[in-house]
Amino acid sequence: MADIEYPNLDPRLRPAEPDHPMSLEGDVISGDPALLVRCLAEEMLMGGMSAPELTALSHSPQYQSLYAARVSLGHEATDRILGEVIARVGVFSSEVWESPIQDETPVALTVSAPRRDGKGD
Amino acid sequence: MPSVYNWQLGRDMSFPYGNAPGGLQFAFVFNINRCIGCQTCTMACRSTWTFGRGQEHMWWNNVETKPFGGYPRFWDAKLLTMLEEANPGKQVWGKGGGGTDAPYGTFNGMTIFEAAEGYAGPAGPRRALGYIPTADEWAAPNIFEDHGRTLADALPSDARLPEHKVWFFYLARLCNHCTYPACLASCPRNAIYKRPEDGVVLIDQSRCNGYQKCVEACPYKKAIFRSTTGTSEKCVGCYPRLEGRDPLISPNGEPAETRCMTSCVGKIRLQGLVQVDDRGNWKPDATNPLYYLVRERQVALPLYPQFGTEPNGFYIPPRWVPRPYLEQMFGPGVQRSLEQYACPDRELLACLQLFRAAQQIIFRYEVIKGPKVAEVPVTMPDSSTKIQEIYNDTVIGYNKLDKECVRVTIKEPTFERDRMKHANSI
Ligand code: SF4
Ligand code: SF4
Repeated sequence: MADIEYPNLDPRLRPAEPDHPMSLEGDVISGDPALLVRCLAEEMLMGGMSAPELTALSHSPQYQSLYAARVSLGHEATDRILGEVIARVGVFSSEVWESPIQDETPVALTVSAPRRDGKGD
Repeated sequence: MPSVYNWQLGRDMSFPYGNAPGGLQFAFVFNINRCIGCQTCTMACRSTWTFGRGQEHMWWNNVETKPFGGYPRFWDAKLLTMLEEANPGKQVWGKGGGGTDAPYGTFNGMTIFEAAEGYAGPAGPRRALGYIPTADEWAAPNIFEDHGRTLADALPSDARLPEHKVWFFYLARLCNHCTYPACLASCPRNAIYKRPEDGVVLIDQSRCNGYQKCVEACPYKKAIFRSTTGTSEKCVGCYPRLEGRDPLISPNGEPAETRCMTSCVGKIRLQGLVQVDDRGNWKPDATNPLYYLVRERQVALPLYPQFGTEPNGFYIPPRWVPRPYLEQMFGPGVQRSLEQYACPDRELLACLQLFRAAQQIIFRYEVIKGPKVAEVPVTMPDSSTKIQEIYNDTVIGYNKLDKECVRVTIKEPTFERDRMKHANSI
C-alpha cells in the first residue's frame, strides 16, 4: 500500500517560495521590562511562592515571562529588582481548609486487555 | 433582525434570536497577572475530552502568548482588521459608563452581527462577520511563541521584524459560553443550543452536518472542525461536573468547577454560575464572588467585548502591559480595574483568596474580619508605589447546598533574612 502523503504543515520545514505573499508588519508598543519583573515578582510572592522558588523560576527558560526579562535586562539588574521586591513584599501566606469531598472508599477496577488470539476481547 | 440587550456594550444590538432565557449562567474570571503558561489547564482538558483520533486540533482550552501568539494564529488581529475594514475609524467606545446597565460606557462601533448585516458574499448571506482559519493557522498551537529566535531563523535573511522592549503575558482561553453565541446564531441546522440550566453552549453531534458555519462565526475561534467525524466540536463546560454528577468530586451532587479550572497551577482561575435575568443582564448578588469581581468591583473584564457575543469569560488584565493594547482587548474598563487590583482593599483581597481554594463551585461567600497584620508597598499601574494593608481576614465559601466548602485565612507575610548578614538566624 502506498504511503499516504500528508501536507507538510510546519512552515519552518517548508521550502521558501519566491512568490510567497509574506509581508511582515508590526507595530512597536514600548514596554518596560523592569516593571514587568517588579509586577511579576510581586504577583508570585503574593501568590505564596517562596523567594528561592521565584529566583529559580526566573532562571528557567520554560517560564519565559521572567526569563525573557532576565535576558533583556541582564542578571545583575534582574537579581537586584528581585531582591528589592522580596525584601519589600515578603511571602504572602494563607491557611486553606477545604471541606472533605472525596469518597475514600477503595474501588475495585477490572482491567482487561484485548486478546491476541483473534477470538474477541 | 431582532434586538437584544448587551450589557457589555451598554446598548441594544441586533442578534438573529431573542434574549437568552434567564437563569444560571456559566462564567469564569482569570487573573492573568499570575498565569505562568504551564499549560496544565490545556492538558487537563485534553486528557478528559479530546484525546481521540482526529482531535489533534481540538484545543478547547489553550494558552497563548500575547502580543504575538494566538491559536489559531492571528485569530484576534484578523477579526479586528475585518471589523475595522467594515466600519473604518468608527470602532470606538463612547465616554461615560459606570452604571449597572452600561458599566463600560457605550460601544458605538459595529459588532460582528451588525457588520454582517446586508452582506451578500459569494457564499450567500451571513449572520456574523468571520472567517475560517487556514490549515496553517490551525496547524500548531504556540508555534513560534516564546521563542522569537526560531521565527527569526525561519525568515529570509534580509527580513527584519520590529523589536520592542520585553513585555508579554499569557492569555488562557476557552469557549466563553456567550450569552449571544455567534456559533449558535450561524448554524443553519440549529444544531447548537444553549442550555437553560447553566447557559452552557453545546453542539448536538447528531444534528451537526459539518458545514463549519460556527467555525467561521465564532470570533474566539472556539468551535473547531473534526475531520474524522465530519462534525464540529467545542468545549462542553465539563457539564457533568457543573451538574454535580462527578462521583468522586461531588458525592452529594454539589456542582464542581471544570477540569481546566481546578487544575490551574498558577491559581489564576475561578469559575462559577451567576444569576441572569430575562434581558440577559446579571442579577445583583454581591455575595457571589463572580458577581463581586465582574459587576460590583469591575476588576475583571470581558475579552474583546466589542465583538458583541457577550462572552462570559472575564480577565483581570496584566498590570505591566501598555494601556492601549489592553484597552483594545478588554475595553474601556482597564484603568479602573488595574487601579483596584494593583493595591486591593481588604474586601477585594479576601475575595481574591477564593481562586483555586476549592473544587466545588462557590455560590456565596462571606468574610470574617480580623486585625491588621501588615503594610506592604506595592507597584501601581503608573509605576508609583502605594501601601497595601493586609488584614487577618477569613473568607468562607459556600456551595450550592449552602454548606461551607472552603475557608481561607490570610496570614501576615513572611520575610527571609539574608543568611550572610545574620549568621545566627534560625
Ligand atoms: S466563544 Fe465561540 S463557540 Fe463559545 S459560545 Fe461564544 S461564539 Fe460559541
Ligand atoms: S494551568 Fe493556570 S497557570 Fe498554568 S497555563 Fe493554565 S491558566 Fe495559566
